[in-house]
Amino acid sequence: MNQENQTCCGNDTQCENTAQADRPQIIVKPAFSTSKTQTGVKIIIDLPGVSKDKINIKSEETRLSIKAEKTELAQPDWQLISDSDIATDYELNLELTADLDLSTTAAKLEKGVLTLGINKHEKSLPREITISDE
Amino acid sequence: MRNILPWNQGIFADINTILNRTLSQIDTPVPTPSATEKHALYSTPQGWALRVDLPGYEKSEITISLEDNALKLSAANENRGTTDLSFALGDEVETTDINAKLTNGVLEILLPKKEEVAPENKTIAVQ
Repeated sequence: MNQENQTCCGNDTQCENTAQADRPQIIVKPAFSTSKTQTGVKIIIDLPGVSKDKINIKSEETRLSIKAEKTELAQPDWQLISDSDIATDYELNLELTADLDLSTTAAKLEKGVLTLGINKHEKSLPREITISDE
Repeated sequence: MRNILPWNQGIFADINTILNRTLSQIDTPVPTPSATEKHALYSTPQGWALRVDLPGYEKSEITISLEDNALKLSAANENRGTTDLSFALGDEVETTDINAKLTNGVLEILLPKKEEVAPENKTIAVQ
């Protein structure tokens, strides 16, 4: 699990409210699962509290990288009493198999869950080979 | 800024986390559940706010109830199974005015504090 503790208000970051300013950045690896589909794989990633515009998905060769920023729901005049190491950001890096075509990645965000569908390369899909007549 | 806890800190520290998690038959694996549902408790000018991460559930699949001065959350669907959480409430919570909202898989519950009743001033005549 990747985890970093940094102050939120760095040189290139502006915090909108006191609750964010006082809270250290906690980056965690989100819960995720993978499963095979008829044409490739499906990856389900839990990203509670993240809106679509705060997700960054990048692919490079066989590597898939997902970074997401959780929306801070706390109001400026709220004071944190306790939490269970609730994340402020999520980061997930996956190394996928070469038979998957990352250019076919389709993403959907619903109920705090990001679902990615990735198809195999056309040449990797099972195909029937016919025997020609002599 | 108010620092009063709505419940005994010891009780909250020993939060009842997952009482039961069952996975019904599913076609695809669900993400590995974390040991405890992630949550945060805030003190607000009006009372308290509790935030619980519940990704993968619709509003209609979550039940919030009050029982024996405890806030009970139950979320259930075919894909995710059942998640039950319970939080003990203190006497200072106004239980008739609790509000809940689900946004992007995060359940936010606002717990207002009971209004203090100002003591009534009376003048008593001496007979």
